[in-house]
Amino acid sequence: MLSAAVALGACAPFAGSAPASATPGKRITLSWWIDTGYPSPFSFSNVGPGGVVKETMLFDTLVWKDGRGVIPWLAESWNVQDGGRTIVFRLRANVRWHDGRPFSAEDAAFSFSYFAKHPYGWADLNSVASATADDSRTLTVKLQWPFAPFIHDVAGVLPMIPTHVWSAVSDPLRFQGPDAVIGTGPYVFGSYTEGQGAYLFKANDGFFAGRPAFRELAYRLLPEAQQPLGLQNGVVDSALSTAYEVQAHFNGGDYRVLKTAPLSIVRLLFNVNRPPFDNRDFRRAVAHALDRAQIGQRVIHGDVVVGSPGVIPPETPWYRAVSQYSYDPDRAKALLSGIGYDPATTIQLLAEPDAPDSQLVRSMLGAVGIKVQIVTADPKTRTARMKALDFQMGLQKHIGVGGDPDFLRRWYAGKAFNAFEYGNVIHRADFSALAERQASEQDPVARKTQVGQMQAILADELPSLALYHRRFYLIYRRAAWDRWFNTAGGIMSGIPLVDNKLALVLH
Amino acid sequence: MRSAIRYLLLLVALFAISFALPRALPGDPLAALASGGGQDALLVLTPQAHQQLLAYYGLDQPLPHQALRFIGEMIRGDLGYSISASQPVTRLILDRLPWTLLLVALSLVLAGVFGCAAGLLAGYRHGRYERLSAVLLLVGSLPDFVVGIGLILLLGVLVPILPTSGAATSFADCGGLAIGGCAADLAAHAALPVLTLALVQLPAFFLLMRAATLGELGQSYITAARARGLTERRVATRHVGRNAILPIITLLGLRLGTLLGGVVVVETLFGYPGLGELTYQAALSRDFPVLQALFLLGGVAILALNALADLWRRRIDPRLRAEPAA
Repeated sequence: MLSAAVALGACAPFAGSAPASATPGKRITLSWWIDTGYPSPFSFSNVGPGGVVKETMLFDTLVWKDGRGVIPWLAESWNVQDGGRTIVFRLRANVRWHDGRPFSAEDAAFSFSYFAKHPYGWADLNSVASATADDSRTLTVKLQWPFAPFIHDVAGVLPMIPTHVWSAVSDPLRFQGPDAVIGTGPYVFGSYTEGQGAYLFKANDGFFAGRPAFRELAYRLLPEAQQPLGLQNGVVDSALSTAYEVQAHFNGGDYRVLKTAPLSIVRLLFNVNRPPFDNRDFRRAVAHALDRAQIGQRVIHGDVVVGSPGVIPPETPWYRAVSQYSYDPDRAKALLSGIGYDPATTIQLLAEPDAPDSQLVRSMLGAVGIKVQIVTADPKTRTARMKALDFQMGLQKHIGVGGDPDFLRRWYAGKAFNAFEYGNVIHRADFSALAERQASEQDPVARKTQVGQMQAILADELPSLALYHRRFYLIYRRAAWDRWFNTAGGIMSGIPLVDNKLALVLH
Repeated sequence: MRSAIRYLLLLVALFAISFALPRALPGDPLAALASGGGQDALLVLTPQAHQQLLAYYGLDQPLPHQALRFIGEMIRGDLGYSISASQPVTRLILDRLPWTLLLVALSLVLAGVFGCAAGLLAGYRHGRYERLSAVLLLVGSLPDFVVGIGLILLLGVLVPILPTSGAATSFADCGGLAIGGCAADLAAHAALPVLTLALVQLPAFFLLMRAATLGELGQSYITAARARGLTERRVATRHVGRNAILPIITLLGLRLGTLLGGVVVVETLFGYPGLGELTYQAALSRDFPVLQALFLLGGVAILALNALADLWRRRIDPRLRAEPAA
């Protein structure tokens, strides 16, 4: 029996958390650029990660992440048994819901069964066969197959909801009101103003893992471009930006900037089902023709992290250095000549309007004899076309490359639930075998090797090409709160934001 | 009667367009959720969950069935349920409508009053306000967002006296239009969006009023009025102004459509929680129930206001009253 046990050190501070000796503040106001809806687990908006991050302030998961990785949370320890098919969680004692009733293993088991019936967009429960409460503090989860990402991608993502509220709810999408936001989290729901995206949460004085750092946690809606102005004018205490210049302007004096790991990716997607991208040498010629460092520098102007052909970004735990396809136009021309590429052919690049990246790609590919026509469309149109494989080459910017590396299996071995495979499926038996093996591998060292081999195959096959990675910048007023930190691999399954609830709790 | 039939046919066409247009956009609401073009790669929508949600929103049904459902819901006063906002569409619209009405009404009044007054004056004093005409022409040619950004820079950054985002100070008991002691806060938040919309609309009123005034001044009844010894002010207000205002009323009806388009841009720019911002977000997320309701209600509103403008013109223009109704 493979057994892994993790125990919570009673007094051990979490990596990045604020010390218990600090004095709670009155209110902190954070910002987000769209209204993310009512913050119940079934009502918040799934457009972007803003909704789910707010929800985590009210609701808790069995495990959580700090600056170093996964930590015990509602579960104080767990055992992985039966070759990874069974996980037994020992839950904390004395945890209470916001309405004062005790949290128990029955609630945890109920949460799994309820979310199996009513899907939660951020966790896949397909691997779960059953979840049962052995006693009030012991939860046993049986899996249909050993699923290595379970702790990270399911136990660390699925919110626990109270049985006494939700057992009577048959239509959770329309269930809203004070009962729908009862969780165990560090903050209690106060108010939400639809349209204005204004949220007010209040400190949960009975929180099990420390004292909330503020009596009130507020969120204000500010359009992305107005966030720095809002910070400057004192409307909010922090602003989120992807612009290098903006953070450079603010860094120093009353303000500080926290850079996230490069967990956002800008990549070229090749439709490997259609010529000429069905030819691997053509894809390699494209890679050699592009000066990815220069593209990144000219688009984001600083902090450029050149994309790895193995997709997983550098600076993250699962990254493995693979063939880099250095900028070599002569090599590109030789490869094109080798496959008899007709320079009269025009390739279509599907991209967002006004993306400077696509202009640079066109220019650099043109220099080696690949004519490119840029076709622009809004995000949803691009997604629809890519999903229908109605494209040759597409340019996409997105997050989702910082968490558990199982996303490589989903995107490139044809197991994607959403549209993110985009014609990129690799039909190689060794890749498929590795993808399945790592998904059930319980030994982290062996798994890292397998994931490294997958990156090597991806670099060899090049179904897509990571151009560069972007960081997010949290710009904050130092006097308001100075305890922000980066979550290892991103919050939950890889969200590259810094408003981890641990940063807003005193331990 | 003929007019009523015409409006009825327009309503049927409007319904068809409102229903078809969102569905003609590439991508469906659930695909939009599952792969929002960038930030949503972490979402996991399994095929079973996808099918379950399609059935929940009735999107797994054939289009005629969906259309019938839309009609049935409308008859019951229910405009459906928003897929992206998880709220009844009726509530979303009722929450947002007052904010948009506030912007539209104030900007129309400002643009109409100042545009008409300046146009009347410029027409009356022909040749003396050419610079003003040129400036207004320039402003009128600028897109809404350029004017808005200019005002943000001027009154939000350089001389920071007005808030640049939102409709009220959050959590300060100014969350609705129950004004009370928060009137100043609401007015301050509405100032920049209203100014933007008014500035963009004003030149049209000014130019039309000036041209109409010039046209009226050459008429023989004006000469007759002056010959009767009426003061210039009375000639201007009771004779020239009253007749020159007729094309302005027509313009009001016509500008409403443009204004609603401008509201989408301006509300999005200023993070103002009105119907324009709702339309923008619904279009981005392909939220069919919200889009079809907004298109339909927006179209009905424009039709109704045009009908009102027709009636109003008839009321103040005796020549039209003499004609049989079209």
